[in-house]
Amino acid sequence: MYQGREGQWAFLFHRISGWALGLYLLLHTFSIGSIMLGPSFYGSIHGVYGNVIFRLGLIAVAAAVAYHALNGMRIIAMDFTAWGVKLQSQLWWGVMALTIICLGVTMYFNVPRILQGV
Amino acid sequence: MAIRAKTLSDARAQAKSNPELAWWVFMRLSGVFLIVLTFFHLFSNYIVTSEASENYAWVVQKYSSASERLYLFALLALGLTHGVNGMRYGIDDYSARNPRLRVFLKALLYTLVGAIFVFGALALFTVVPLASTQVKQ
Repeated sequence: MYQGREGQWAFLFHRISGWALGLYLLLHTFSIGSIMLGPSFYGSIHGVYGNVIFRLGLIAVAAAVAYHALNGMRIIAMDFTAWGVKLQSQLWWGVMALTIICLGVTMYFNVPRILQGV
Repeated sequence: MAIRAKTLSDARAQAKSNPELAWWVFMRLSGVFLIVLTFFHLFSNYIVTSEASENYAWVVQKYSSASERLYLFALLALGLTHGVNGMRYGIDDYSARNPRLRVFLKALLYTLVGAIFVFGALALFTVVPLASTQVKQ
């Protein structure tokens, strides 16, 4: 980190979430695509993801999607508009607030399911 | 950026950045499409439906719709292309002083992404006929 202002955190989180999502997409395509290899193969993989660690991990993936999508909009605003550059730090706080709201919505729907094992 | 070279070889050298410009545009354009595609993907498969209920029969049922397969193919192709280019940016940034490591990491990345794309696309378009033969047996 250089001076640790908003723009640097925005960049760092964008890169970390991007790598996480890129690697997740590879794993996700393999595990869902394994449906091609028959019910028992798919079933065993799907069973592993029923583990609470993986289910909590998926909430983190959803939060990474929200951050990467929202900060991506901030980047586009900075690239193509003057107000995007002027307000970039305020926009980043907006991105963080909306990411936390998205995380909350995801948890509201998925934490009860995980606790009940459904 | 306009090419201001006065000789052919200079022009070639400057034009090398054109693919990078095209990637820059692609990242923003595909990003906008991916925001919309991913939002509805997560909404229907992660908020409305619990992942725990998404078993073999559920996925086969979903894949029986041609528009659903097309939607997922768009998500797969755009997502992997956006992702592979983003990871390439990362590799370029962090292995700038080590060309051999950079070549190795990129070869690994492109091979992995290419294989996963073929695997995923194959799954999208062969599962329904395969599943129907499995039911008949």
